[in-house]
Amino acid sequence: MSGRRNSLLPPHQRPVSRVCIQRAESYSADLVGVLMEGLQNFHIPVRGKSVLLKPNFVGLDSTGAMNTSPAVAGAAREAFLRLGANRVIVAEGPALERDTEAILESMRLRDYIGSLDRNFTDLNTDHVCQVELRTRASNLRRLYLPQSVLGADFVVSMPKLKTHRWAGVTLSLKNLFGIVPGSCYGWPKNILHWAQIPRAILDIASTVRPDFAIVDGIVGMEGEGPLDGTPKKTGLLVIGDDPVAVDATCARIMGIRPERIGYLKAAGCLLGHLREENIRQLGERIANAKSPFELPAQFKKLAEASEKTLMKAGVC
Amino acid sequence: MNSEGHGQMVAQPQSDGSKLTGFETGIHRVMLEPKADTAGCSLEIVGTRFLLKSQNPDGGWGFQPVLSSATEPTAWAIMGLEAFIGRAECRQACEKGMAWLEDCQLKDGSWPAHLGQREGCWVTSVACLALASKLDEGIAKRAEVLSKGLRWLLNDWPGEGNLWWRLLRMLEGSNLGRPRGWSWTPGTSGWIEPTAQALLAVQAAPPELYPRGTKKRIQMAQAMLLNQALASGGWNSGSSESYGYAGRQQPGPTSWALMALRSQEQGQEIAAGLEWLQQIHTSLNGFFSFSLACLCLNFWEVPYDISRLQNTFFTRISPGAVMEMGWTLLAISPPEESPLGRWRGLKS
Repeated sequence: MSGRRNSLLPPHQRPVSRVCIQRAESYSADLVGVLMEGLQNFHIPVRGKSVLLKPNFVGLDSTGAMNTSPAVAGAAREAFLRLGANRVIVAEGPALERDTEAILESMRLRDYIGSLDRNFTDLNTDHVCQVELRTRASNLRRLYLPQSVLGADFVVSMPKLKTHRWAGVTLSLKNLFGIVPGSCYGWPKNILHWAQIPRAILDIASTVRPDFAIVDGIVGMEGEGPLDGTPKKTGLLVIGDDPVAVDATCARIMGIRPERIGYLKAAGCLLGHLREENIRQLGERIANAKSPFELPAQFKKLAEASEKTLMKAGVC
Repeated sequence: MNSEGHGQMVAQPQSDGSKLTGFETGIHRVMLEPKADTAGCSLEIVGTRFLLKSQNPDGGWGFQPVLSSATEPTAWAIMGLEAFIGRAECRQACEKGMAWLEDCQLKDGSWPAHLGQREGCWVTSVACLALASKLDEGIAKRAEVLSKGLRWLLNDWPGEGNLWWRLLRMLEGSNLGRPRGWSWTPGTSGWIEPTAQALLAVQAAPPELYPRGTKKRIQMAQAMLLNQALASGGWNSGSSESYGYAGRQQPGPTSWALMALRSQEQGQEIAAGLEWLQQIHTSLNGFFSFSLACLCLNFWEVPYDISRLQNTFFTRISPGAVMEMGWTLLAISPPEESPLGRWRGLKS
C-alpha cells in the first residue's frame, strides 16, 4: 500500500502529515462511532482490501494498562469493515508469553471480534518469508517475517500509550516487534535486543511501515513500562496515517520531547514527520490533551524540562 | 507478498495441495472434527487421529494443520504418536515424520525452525529429543544424525560467552562466574526454555554419543536453571529479577525447567516449582500451557487434573494446535511406555 511504498522519504519530500486526537472517556464509550468520526479525516483506501490490525498484546494483563484494549481492537475492526474492507483480522505475536490463547482468553477478545479462528492470527506461528531489511541501522540485515503481514493490503499498528524502560516510549513503531515471529526467534525475540532495540525498531519499521496507526491511550501505562508500570488514564485515541507523526504527537501528549527519543528522531529523517510544523493536528489540540507521564528512571531526561534546567542537571 | 515484493518464500502450505497465498494463509484454520465425531472417544483415539490427519504429505507437521511443516511441531507430533506406537498407523506416521526431520537437518548439524531456512536454532534440541526417543530403530543412520545435532548443541554458546561481552562485564565489575545455558538463536542470551530443552535432549541421548565436554555443560545448565528459580516457586522465561522487579512465574518455563531437572535430587527449588505448577495448572486458560503443565506433572508422576484435560480437549471445537496434541498424548501415556521413559531413564 501507499504507506509502505513511501516508507523511505526525507521530510522535505513528504506531504504534511495529519494526526487526529480524539476523546474517549472509557472503553464502554461508543468507540466505533469515535473511530469512524476520526477516520473520516483521512483517505483510507481499504474498499475490497484486506486489513491487518496489529495490537499490542504483551501478556496476561491484570491492570488493563499493558495490552491494547480488546474493545479498541474490536471497534477498529468494525470501523474498517464499515469502510468497505473485504477482510479485517487482528494479528499479534506476543513477545514474552508463548501461550497466545491464554492472553486472548484472559482479555475475552472473542467477545469483541467474534471467532478467534476466523478473525485472529498468531504471528508467532504463521508462514514466514525472508525479507531483506530496507535500512541498516542494526546489523540484522534480513529477518523472517509473517506472510500475513507481508501479504496484507493495509497494516494498522495499534499500540498502547506506554513508557518503555529500554526505548523510552512504546508506540506504533515499537509495536512492530510483535510481527517478528517467535517460531524463528524465540520468546522473547532476543535477537532484537542484541541488535539494539532502537536500531531494530528502525529497520523493521522501514521495511514494514504501517499504513495507519491507532493508539489506545484511554488507559495507558506510565513509569516502569512496558510491564511493571502503573495505569495512566488519558481518555484519548490518537490516530493518523503517518506512524512517526502519531508517535511524536503521543510523546508530546505524554510530556516527552520526541526528538530526544533516539529511534523517533532517526525515524523523523526517513520514515515520517516528527516536527510539529509538519503535522496538521486534528480533533483535540495537544495542549488540551497533554497529560505528563511518569518516566522510567533512566529516561527522566526526555521530559519537557527547560534546556536551562536540564543543563543544570547535567543532562544536556 | 506486498507490492514491494522482496520476500523469499520459505514455507508453502500443503495440506490439500492448493496454495493458500498472502493474507489468507494467516487466517485459514482447520477444525479438528465436529464434536459429534469425538463423542465417546478416548483422548488417545482423538489425539492420535488428529495428528494422523494433520500430517503433511511431506511427512512433517505444521503448527496448525493447514500450515507447512516446521521442525518443532514435527518433533512433538512424532513423540506424541510414539507414545502409542503399538498402532501400525502411528508407527508409519512416525517413520515418515522422522525421515522429514532427518532430511531437514542442516550441514552443520543444526535444525532450522522452518523448512528452507539456512540457520539453525533452539529447535535443534527438540529434533534431537525426538531422535533420541526413537534411537532403537534404524540406529546407525539415526545415531549419526543425532550425534551431529549434539555436536552443534555443545558448540552453541549464548552471547554472554563471547570475549567482548565478558570483557565489558569485567570492566563493569560484574560476576563472570554465572553459569550459562542455551539461547533461542545463536549468539543471543541464555533463557530458561532453550536451556531446559537442550538439557532434556542431551540427557536423553546415549552417553556414548556425547561430544567432549558434555557432562560439564550439563552441570552448568542445571546450575543455571537452579540459579534462576524464583523464590516463590517456579520459573520466569529469563532472570529471576530484572530492574529490581521479581520475575513472574510462567507455566511454560516452569514446566520445561522441571522436566530438565528430573534427574536431580528434589531440592527446594524443584519442590517449590512442582507445588506451584500443581496448584495453578487447573486454572490455566490456554491449551498450550495446560497440556504442557500436564505433561510435566505426568513426567514427575505428580497427580494432575486429567478430567479437565479430557474436557478441555473435547470441548474445544478447533484445538488446531499440533504441539499441544503431542504433549497431551505424552501426558496421558504411562511414562515407562512412552518417550518419557527414555528421557527419565538416562540420567547423566
